[in-house]
Amino acid sequence: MTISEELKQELAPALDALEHTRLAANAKAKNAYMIMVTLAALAAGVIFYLINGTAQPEHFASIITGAIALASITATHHFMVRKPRKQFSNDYKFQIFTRVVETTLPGMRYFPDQGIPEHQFKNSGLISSRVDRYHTEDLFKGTLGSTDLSFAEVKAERKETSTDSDGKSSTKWVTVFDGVYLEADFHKHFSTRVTVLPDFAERTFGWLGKKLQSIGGKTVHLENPEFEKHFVVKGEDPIETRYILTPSMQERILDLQRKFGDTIMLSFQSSKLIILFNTQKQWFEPCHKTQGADLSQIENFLTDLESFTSVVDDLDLNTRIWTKE
Amino acid sequence: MLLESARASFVISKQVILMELTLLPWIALIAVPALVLIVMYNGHVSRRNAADNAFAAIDVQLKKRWNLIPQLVATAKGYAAHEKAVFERVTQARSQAQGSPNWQQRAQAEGQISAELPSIMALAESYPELKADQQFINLQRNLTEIESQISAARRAYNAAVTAYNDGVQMFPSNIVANLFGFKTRDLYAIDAIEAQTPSVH
Repeated sequence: MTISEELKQELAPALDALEHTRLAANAKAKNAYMIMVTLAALAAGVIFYLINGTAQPEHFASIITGAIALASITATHHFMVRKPRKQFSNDYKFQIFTRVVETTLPGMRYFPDQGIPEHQFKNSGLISSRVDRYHTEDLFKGTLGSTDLSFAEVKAERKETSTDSDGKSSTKWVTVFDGVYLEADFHKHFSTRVTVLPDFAERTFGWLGKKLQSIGGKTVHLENPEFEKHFVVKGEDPIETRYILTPSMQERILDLQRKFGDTIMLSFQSSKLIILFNTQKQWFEPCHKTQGADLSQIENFLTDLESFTSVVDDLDLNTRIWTKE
Repeated sequence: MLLESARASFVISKQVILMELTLLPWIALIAVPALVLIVMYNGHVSRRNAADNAFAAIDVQLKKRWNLIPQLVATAKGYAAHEKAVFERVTQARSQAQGSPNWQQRAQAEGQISAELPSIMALAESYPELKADQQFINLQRNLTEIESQISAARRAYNAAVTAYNDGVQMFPSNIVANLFGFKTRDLYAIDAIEAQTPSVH
């Protein structure tokens, strides 16, 4: 995917305007960092005085001063760094990236502020953990050839509260999934659910791991040893599982695994294919450090986009020789 | 009196416990091998049933293919009537498969069908009207579907037979297999059906 000359010309005025937004956001951020450093230095000085410069150490006042300083620094960072940069990012996505998608992939549309509903994500059957906090954005939706396709960024987290020996409880957020959720129309009809997950047990414990997996039931062992080494397949019907995971499909999934690493998980259900790319990486984000005239911003976006749209060809989903058209 | 009776009952229970403890190894000696035997026997039966089920699934798909052949031949004949020899060979192979008295003969006839069907599909290249016929396209799609299902069922059968054969040949389950007459089975050779299947345009 490349940027045409017409598109470059069309986007030039918007890119110029966005360059002003970017510079303003960066200038604001620079001021914010100076304010934050000053606030931190002031707070440190006051706290030092309250503890060492008075007849008796003023612990309570020190804590209050520290808390006020921390709140002020956080607020400054939020309003003067994060918000302007987010605004620049949103403007860039809505004004530039949406148009880039419309022009380079006419069948697809980009919705920066939309995503995959939480229930849809949970229904994939690929995440066994509880999800307490869910965020999704950057939805791409449309048709490529004969294949309906949608994908979006998703971050799912689980809240974990623990209590120590003194009875103090602490809460932390554990990332359950951070990456891209992709759903595509599969080229064959099928009725059962098949999941393909990374196989850590077999790679770690070999033959014993393979046996242990089988205890869980519904494990289908396929003929390709390389595929078996990397993935564990669960399917309700061994014949339908093999109908979906043909030898050629296993090879294609292995190629996809080589491209994305051990981050991919697949689920085949209701004649659809769901892939979770647990990449722990931010996708489709414009960088506030890149100058407006520099088109590498758009090129990087297209590279990100191609990583996911190419799945249709990688898995040969446009071949419609079976009864499903 | 009461003390004596309590002492006597204590002596009796002690004797019972001692007797049970003496018998325990003997009970274990019989029960453990019996349990192992039951588990192994049931394992053989379950794997044999899985192979039978997978084989039945192949049979279902092969019969679906039989049902498709007359329609396919009739449609293709409408455009390519003088390609008589191809149609006759496929129809004959189908009749042979249907009337086979045993699996060996049937497998041969099914193999013949698999070899001849691509010839009918290839006619579409020489007869553009046939290629454009909607019914022919639908039949072609159905055939591809069935061939994929046959391929999947064959692979499932081979996986089930491999698991069954492993049980029959590996020690110590081979002892139970020999004892109860479980015999190894042949794998169903997979031909490259998916590779042979022509694409639908």
